[in-house]
Amino acid sequence: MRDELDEIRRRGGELVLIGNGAAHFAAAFREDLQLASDVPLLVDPERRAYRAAGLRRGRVEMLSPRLPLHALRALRQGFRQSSIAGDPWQLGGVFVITPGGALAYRYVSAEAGDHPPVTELLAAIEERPALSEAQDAPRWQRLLGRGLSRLVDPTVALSFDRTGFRIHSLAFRPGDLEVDLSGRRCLVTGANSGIGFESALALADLGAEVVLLCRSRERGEEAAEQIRTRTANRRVFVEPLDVANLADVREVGARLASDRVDVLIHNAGVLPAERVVTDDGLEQTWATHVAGPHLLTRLLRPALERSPDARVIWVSSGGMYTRRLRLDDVSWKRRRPYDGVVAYAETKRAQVVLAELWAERLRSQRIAVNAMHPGWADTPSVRSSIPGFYRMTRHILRTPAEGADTIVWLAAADAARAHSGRFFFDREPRGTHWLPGTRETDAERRALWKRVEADARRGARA
Amino acid sequence: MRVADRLAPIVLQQILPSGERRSRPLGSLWHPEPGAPDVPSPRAVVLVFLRHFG
Repeated sequence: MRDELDEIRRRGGELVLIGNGAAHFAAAFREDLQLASDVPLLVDPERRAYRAAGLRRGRVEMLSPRLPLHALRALRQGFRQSSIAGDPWQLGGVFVITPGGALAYRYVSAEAGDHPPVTELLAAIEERPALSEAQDAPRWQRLLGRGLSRLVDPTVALSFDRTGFRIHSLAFRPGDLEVDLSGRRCLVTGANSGIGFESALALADLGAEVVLLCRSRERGEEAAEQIRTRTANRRVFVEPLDVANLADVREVGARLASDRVDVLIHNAGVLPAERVVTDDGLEQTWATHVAGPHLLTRLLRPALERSPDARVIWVSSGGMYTRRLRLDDVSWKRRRPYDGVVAYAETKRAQVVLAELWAERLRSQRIAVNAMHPGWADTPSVRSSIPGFYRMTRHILRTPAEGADTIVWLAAADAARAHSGRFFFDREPRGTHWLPGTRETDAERRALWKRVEADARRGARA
Repeated sequence: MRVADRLAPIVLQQILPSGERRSRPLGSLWHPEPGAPDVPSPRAVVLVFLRHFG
């Protein structure tokens, strides 16, 4: 690029360089490269601009088979790689922005050593084409994705599994997650592993402050350190919380509510083999999936109201489709034998209805509340809680990151702001009833609210 | 939201040839800086994000 400086200027462009290392590395870089004194050189150690520009970062991209060829080309051009100063996993890119801020050229490096063709770049500087920034997937790709979805969605397995993710993602807008979440505070329950961990990791990578709410401080700290290392974002914190313990929720919730909350993700989940009753006298699945998250939302409501764009996300399950809302025996005192899978599915159904009820109540405060299901993902809890299902499906499960994708999209994408009170799967709102007899009545919806409010008061007495 | 609008409010440190630093909002690269005549620079900004220094 240095060699093309004159040509860039002749065509009406001005070169600006941004690096992700510290300022003293930049000064040495300027000297080593004998960079013209009038070329602005800026440093972005926190990678805020890199994230806002949607540039890639990752280990796989550093292992391209073409890397030796790129290195050879650089050597022939007289470059010598010195020690890397900055984030070793960050990739670069080039943008041409016209006066007034329109985009005329975008090149996002897909692997290390990957640079835009110079002729293409110079032409864009001169011609300044108005580039679409909507960044929709190409029309043929979206149509293909929708067509294939119609075929596979009724099969359930080919929709919930990794094939489904690949098909549904054909219609994703690639630019949706090119956002900078700096200054936003996101709370994630059950964030030390699986889908919760991947959600926290992705949000931290987009620059958000992330608070991991985990039962174990030790496991939470391990996860937080991993996220800090992988994202170079230091604003990742741990707050020990057992969401099934209402007294704990009350104490931690009050503490967290002192500051603004922009995103609250109810992800913590359990699937016990036997009936477990919490200190509050609640069945553990109900306490973890319904009563605890409801109380936490209630306590954090003032903190969410302080955000200009607050979002609450309930991580439900596709298993909820099999059950209707049932409130006559949520504590499993009468039903025998206890069935953890049924308890799980019933409480996941309750989460979906509760998200709708919260959305109605928070609509005037412009707080978006949505539920979602991640499909079938390979997570530690799937492995340990439903080993039979895991053995049967392990070759077709989604990765935890694929399972977390819609959570991250709901938490971060501008496009998600338009929705509240919906149930999402793979970034699309979906219906909440497939089977006959699963639709709840208005009276049952009101009874659910009454029930969780009563549970919240139970926490107050504890 | 446009890439330029997402980048505009981000303030980075500019390293001057003298080694001194000054804060610079990225938006000032394609919008006039406060106090400057109210016309954008006629030049297109070629923003190169380096993979790393070195």
